[in-house]
Amino acid sequence: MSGAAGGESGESLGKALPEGDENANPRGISMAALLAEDFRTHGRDPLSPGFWALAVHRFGNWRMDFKAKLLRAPLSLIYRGAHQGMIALWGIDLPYNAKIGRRFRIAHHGAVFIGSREIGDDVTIRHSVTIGLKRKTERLAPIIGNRVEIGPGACIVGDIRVGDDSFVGANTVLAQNVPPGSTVLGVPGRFIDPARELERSPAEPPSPKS
Amino acid sequence: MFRDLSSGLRQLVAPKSGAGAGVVMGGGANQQTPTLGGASAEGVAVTDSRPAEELGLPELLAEDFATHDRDLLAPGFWAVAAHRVGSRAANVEARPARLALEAAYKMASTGIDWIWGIQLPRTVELGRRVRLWHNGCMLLTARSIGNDVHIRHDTTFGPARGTEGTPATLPIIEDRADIGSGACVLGGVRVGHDAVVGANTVVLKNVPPHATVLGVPARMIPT
Repeated sequence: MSGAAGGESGESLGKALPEGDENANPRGISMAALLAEDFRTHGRDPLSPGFWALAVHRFGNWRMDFKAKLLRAPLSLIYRGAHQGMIALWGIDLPYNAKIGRRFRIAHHGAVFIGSREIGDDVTIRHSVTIGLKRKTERLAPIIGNRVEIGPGACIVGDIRVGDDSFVGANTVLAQNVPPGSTVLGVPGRFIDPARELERSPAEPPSPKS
Repeated sequence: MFRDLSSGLRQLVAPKSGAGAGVVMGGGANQQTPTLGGASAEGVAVTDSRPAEELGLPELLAEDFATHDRDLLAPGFWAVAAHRVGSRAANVEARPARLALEAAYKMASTGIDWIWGIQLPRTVELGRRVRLWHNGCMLLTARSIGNDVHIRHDTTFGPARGTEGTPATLPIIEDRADIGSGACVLGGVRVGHDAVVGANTVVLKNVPPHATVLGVPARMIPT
């Protein structure tokens, strides 16, 4: 369905992401409370693919708390199986070593690849979103701030920071730093005034044309 | 029980009777534009412009099947078929039959969403001979989709940012529009009849009839 987004990730990411040798789930909240919060974030829908993909991600981090390798091995096996299952069934590739904050929401599934160094709290993404490296030779992935919203089809690549409360529009290709509170749209991403670009007169009736 | 079921089935396959069926009807969005020699999938001139509600279910599904090249493996056909059944299930009065149909619709639409990534909610007013090419990442939450519209993979119809929830902010796709792969049509905009929306285009404003738009955000280009 949509494995393309995740296909190249594994090899080229290399050191771009954290090592993944420790539990990078948000601090100060138990695993059960975290999963319950993620479930609420995804509208309490047990059929929501986004919730399950995030749950697998949290599980992948939680297992790193088991320092004894023998104890961790079966958990790692389960995590890998589930991660591949998420990619095959829903096209959501969410490696566990990409750090993700609380109340992260994947609103729709399909062709999602999240290879960011760090994602803040209350971030929402939609389908076909790619966050990753700019090119093979570069080794740094983006950092996404708090309360950022990312539209469908957006690509956020390279060693950049997306500031808090920003909005990345649909199908936007973003490879530059974004200050907090900005709205970006276009290929390549341009800063826009949302009031001007998004506000419009209500849909007028179609003008008849022969 | 059996009488309930059979009457329910009869109601399901019969033409939809009037409005008020619990399914959102985008008031008068589906205009009856005279068909200007619009062609169906087989290139046959279309003369039949009755709305989808006036056709019986078997007739409608046969037409959708023909639109998708009589290919039983076409995901688009199954997504449209689930929509046709689902949007009529609410009309069935016999409770057991209705509940069974609703459950079947829920299962079918979830399966189509999970396996092929096509979300076509039954609240969308769907025209006739709509063709979904390819599959994957299609989220088609429009207010209405007209007759003979062609839609490709990775397309998104939905509310613009911050306007979620109300039907008035969903896009209207008029007859014979052609939507390229990766396109997003967001907010309460209208894509005019015979318009072409290019690949990966983000439409945030109305598109006039017969226009061709391309880019992020969409710009008109000469044809």
